[in-house]
Amino acid sequence: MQSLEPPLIALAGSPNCGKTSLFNALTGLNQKVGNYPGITVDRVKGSLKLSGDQWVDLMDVPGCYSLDIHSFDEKVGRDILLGRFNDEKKPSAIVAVIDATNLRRSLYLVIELQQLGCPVIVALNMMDEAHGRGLELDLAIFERELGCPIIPTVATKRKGIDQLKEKIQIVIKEGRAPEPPENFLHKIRRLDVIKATYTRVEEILRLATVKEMAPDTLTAKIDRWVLHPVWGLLILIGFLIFVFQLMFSWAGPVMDLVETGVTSIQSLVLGVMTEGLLQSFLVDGVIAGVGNFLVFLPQIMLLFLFLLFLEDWGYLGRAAFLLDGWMRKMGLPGRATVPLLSSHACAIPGIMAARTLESRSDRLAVMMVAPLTQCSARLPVYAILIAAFVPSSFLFGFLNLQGLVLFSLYTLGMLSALIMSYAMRKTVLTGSPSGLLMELPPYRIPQLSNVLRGVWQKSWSFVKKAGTVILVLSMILWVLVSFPRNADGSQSEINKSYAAQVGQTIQPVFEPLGFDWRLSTILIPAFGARELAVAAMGTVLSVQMSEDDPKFEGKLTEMVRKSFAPEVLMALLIWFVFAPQCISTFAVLVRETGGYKWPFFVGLYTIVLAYLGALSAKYIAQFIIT
Amino acid sequence: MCRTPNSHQLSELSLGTKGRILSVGCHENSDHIDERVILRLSHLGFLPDQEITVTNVAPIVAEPILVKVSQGYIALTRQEAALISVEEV
Repeated sequence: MQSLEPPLIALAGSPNCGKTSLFNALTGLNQKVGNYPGITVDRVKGSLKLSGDQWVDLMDVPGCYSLDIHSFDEKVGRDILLGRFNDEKKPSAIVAVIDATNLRRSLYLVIELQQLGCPVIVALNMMDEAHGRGLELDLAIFERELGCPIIPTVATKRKGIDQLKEKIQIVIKEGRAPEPPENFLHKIRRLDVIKATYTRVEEILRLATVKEMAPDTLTAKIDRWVLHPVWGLLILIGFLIFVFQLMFSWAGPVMDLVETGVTSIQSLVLGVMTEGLLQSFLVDGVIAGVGNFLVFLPQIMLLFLFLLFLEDWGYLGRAAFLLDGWMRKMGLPGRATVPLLSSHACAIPGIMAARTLESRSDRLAVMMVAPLTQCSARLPVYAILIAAFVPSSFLFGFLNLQGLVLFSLYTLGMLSALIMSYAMRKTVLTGSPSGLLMELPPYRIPQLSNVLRGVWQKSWSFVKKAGTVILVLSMILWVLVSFPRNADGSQSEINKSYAAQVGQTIQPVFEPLGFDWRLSTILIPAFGARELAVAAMGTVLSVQMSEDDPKFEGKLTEMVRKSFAPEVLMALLIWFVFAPQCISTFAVLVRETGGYKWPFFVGLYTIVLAYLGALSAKYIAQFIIT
Repeated sequence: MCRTPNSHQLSELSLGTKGRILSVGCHENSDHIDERVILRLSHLGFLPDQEITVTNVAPIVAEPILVKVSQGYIALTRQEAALISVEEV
């Protein structure tokens, strides 16, 4: 019987073998190449066209070294391969991607895969790199000894792709291999079996190797600096300072461009539409709300660009190595570096990346503190507040004082995340962080196309995810500030609106922090999404955007400076460092922790931190000023 | 028996030392042991007779360490390294 659905081919391999590059080369589907263990968390499927108009589905399986699994994403991978993953059917064939520069570990996995009950095709990837280091293999002997077809590939240069497709077509025609032995999963867990498998790997390699590969001297040379106790740390700190300066000073021109674009769309609408409720809704509600969010997209993209570049280069694993020791003392495993760094772009990808961690207590620790890292949605608020009360002078002639303040806010966020995880390990989260055991990949020149594709994908999915929430919330915000109308239907004063009424009601709570009803009012939309605070600030301070004045931000900064005392702005700044202000983050937390208990805990502790932090900031600032 | 007169724990080796693995799963010095860690070490190529070199030690807290084993570099904590018994070569 012939099924209508195309057959499923699984693409498996150990971390950093170039599996995702090969996936891209085969399907043309956009997907990120990771140079860090376990970057492929979500299931990614693509379609592949073989000759004669035959299509097959190709599934990218999360990387692992063995089918004896440890983390959540590895379990997903194994279940796909065994045909136990949700509604996915069992693969008709497995393409095992192996790294020619790391054959021992790669072949170990191949031998396990061969026992799974579907035909295996080996894609011998990165053959150019191995060749460059002098490796010569006798492919005929290699194939015979391993017992499955081997196709040499260079995924990044699209070499060997057609041969691989041909082989897939032949193999799926031939049909099935025997089912795995009953106790398969138990067997691969036995030490004597592991040893026997490795002995077999050694034997195959001894027979198939014509000329041995020279060691990777370049990686060793770079690591002498990058992992050096002093230089390594300085390089790491240098990278961090660089990216924050980059985001604060260099993203400026692009942001101005976006801002000008938003303003001209607004003036266009103002010009073609007659004045009225609908015009106000479009201009002040929809366009202003979404526009204020799009303005800081360049900064998010810069951060993603930087992280993806370091990842492709092979640096992120090194950063984890440098930080693991002390992070462990604070109750976080070194592997949490990547989730926590990603959280600086947005807490959502950070929380999702926690899936690559092995134990539930590690995942919880990361998810609980991720909201404390300073995500890019805080940037537009920081930009206004910092510009309003920090002089734009230079320290030592080159360090921008405003950039430095921004950097200290990020440091404060990171430090409080570490302290919080330490406190949680002593109280609500039992157990210590699980081990490190991570392979550091060789350095590889980042593929610009891969990095840019990753930036595009991540930014786009972020815009889609956050953008919808922003749009809905800015519409609600517009209603709150535009109503009730006056008796004649005209817009009433801002201080009579619903938003101001709520702001005035809750203001006594924020009195000790020095927030008046206007600042209390802007906190309300900020609980939904913190970047909405900028639009709200414009509204409560009655800063109008108009055709002849494209510099909304500059004007708003000026108004903020005139309206509030520096110590109050300082308190507000610290409030924004800690406060729980993102509906989307909570939605993701509920999904990932499987309940409301932990998200509620996050909301509670961050609001307490925010209140106490802002209060102390106000007094410290007062003390400094006097 | 995993302790012999000239054996050390991998965690005791100083930077730059070369060694040969005698056994994995030695835990005379730790009271509780996670079987999965031993398996994972084995999967990554920490097996008897393999040659290893301690190539880097992380700063300040002297942990983790980076070990060269079968063509690759593996980062591991001292606790994990303590499970591997080696002899210097």
